[in-house]
Amino acid sequence: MKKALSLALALVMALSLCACANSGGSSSDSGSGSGGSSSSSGSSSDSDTIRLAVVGPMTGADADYGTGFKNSAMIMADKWNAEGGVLGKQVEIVVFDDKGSPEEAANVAEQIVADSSIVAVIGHFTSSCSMAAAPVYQDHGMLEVSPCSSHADYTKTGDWIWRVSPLTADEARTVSKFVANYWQAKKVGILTMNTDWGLEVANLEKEYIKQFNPDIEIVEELVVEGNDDYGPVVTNFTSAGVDTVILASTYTISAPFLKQMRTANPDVNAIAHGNCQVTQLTDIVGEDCNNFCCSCSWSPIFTDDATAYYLEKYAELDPDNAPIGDYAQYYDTVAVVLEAIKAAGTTDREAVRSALAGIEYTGLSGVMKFDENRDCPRDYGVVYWDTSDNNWHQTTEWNT
Amino acid sequence: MTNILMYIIDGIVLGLIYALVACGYSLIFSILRIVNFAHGSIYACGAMLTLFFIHHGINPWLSVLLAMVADGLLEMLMDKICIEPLRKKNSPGVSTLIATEGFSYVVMNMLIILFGSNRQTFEPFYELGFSISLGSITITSTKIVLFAISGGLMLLMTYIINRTHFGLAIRAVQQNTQSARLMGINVNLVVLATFFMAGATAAVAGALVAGYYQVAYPTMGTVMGNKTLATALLGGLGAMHGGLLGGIIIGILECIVAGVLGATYRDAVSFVILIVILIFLPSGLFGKKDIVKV
Repeated sequence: MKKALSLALALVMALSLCACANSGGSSSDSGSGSGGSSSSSGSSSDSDTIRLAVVGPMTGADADYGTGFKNSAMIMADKWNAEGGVLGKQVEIVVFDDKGSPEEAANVAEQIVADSSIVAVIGHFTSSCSMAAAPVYQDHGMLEVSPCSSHADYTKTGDWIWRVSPLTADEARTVSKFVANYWQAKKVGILTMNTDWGLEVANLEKEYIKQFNPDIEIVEELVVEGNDDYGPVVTNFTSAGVDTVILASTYTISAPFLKQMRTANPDVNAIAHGNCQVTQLTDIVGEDCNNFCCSCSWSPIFTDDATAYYLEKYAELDPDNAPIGDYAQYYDTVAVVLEAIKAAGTTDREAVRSALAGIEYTGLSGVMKFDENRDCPRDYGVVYWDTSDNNWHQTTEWNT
Repeated sequence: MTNILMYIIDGIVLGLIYALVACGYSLIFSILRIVNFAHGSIYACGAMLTLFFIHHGINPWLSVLLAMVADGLLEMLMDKICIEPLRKKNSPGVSTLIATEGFSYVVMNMLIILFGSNRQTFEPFYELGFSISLGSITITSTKIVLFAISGGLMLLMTYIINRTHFGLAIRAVQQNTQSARLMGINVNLVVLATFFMAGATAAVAGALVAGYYQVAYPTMGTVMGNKTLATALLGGLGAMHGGLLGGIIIGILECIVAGVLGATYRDAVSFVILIVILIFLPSGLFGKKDIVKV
């Protein structure tokens, strides 16, 4: 009896560890948490496939982002495979989990560079993780093309480090212009997530807001993830007379904060960044989400054919959640790298890197063309949530 | 001044939540002299199960009751498969700590498997739709109800421990297990029932907190579990009223520190208190010193 119980418990724990690695829910994943697991319709034979590593937080607090990244990468790989692949070979996506931790990101990078069959890395997600892994990739001559890392210093690591994501500066400028010129804010409260990205975007926005209107007063509150109580922050913003809040944080912080802020002050204007344009936030904030704005490089409300295709394929993998801009950037980044491989005519990493410099690709989030710093500057738009139809809408009048 | 008053009000509400969760730590410790590191995950499980039942059309209050039963049974299961075998072998205390920590991860990951890692919206099922204004300070009905339910539950727990036969049995087992057994007390049943109570209070706390912040997710017990351990240690493990005072002290200090110094420092409050208590007052404010006779 005792042995049976012990065995049952061990089995449950083992299943949990496996599920921990796959908590995003994938149709074809297997394998341990931070190791690679192969997905997509490619053959498992190295000589018949071109392998791309896709890295993100597949487990942990940001696992839902990781699921979106994996799904988006698989959709693009499947699209290319349906059209014959690249260089006559099928594309294989190998998923790695950095758990959203810079320490784990560096470990995962070591695993990836040890695999000579991997041509390039699509990832990581956060600037913290991408920058922690970048020295490893740089030292071993592995292309790291990050879809979402927007920190100014990211590509400075070296010439193997590239990004498809627009710069934090582009997004910060858009938000600041919107707040200063369109909303004509008098007093702005910035809720800053205490991460590399959060601090950078908040600092940029403070600078840009002052450039657009030096008379705007700014109050800033730093927060960390893990607490859902923002009472003291709401008290501080309210007593300071803040009429507009900028949320330099992910939805896990923005959602409960916005709910509490709008409960205390229903008239406060609120704008966040592309990573907050998620169903989970609008569900949590509910009726208090009216006129909540997000900057975005892409939105599921766009009506072009490429977006329609992506949305249709994404819904097949995850019918309950719509993709967000960050997912679309993983989708675009896979395409950019495959275009580079095609242009290079080989999977030799040096050749692919050289070809990347000349790529000009029109993706979901605009035209991607690398500058001399291996960045992809692009314009941002703004969308707002309307509770009368529970949908996002684009607004362009602010930019006239 | 207004801000400080608001911090204190928020802190009292937060402190009551901490006290309610800390109850569970105190109950288990009072019986078995162990710290149950799975308590935070059980609390998260309570919130997620309540949400699950609500999504299936069950009345929110009934959903909380069902979640209380489920969490209570889960705690009993943990005792049966993790703690009792170690207890029977007279294993060192650290083995039990590790076992409960492992169980915590199992529960948390099972919640992630079942419900996903997303934040999910949780309706404020005890919002009455009014608020009280005292000058520039506003106290919502949610705060008032949470205050009333938490306070009431704490009083109920204290009454059960101090004024009922069952509470007498718990105290007897706490003082001397052998003697309690010799006096005819079914020690195993008392231990199981204590675990059930701990799980049930964790479920109530989880549902109340999720309803207050209107969000629930599988990992919501991680930080809460650590802070409420500090609360229980401050008040004195095994002392219900100590947990209440400890919770309020930590809640108020956290909110003041968050408001004055910044929210990034708030978590440090409970852990600094934890370190100070362990060094200078290891039995807490109201805990009793263990006298080991040789």
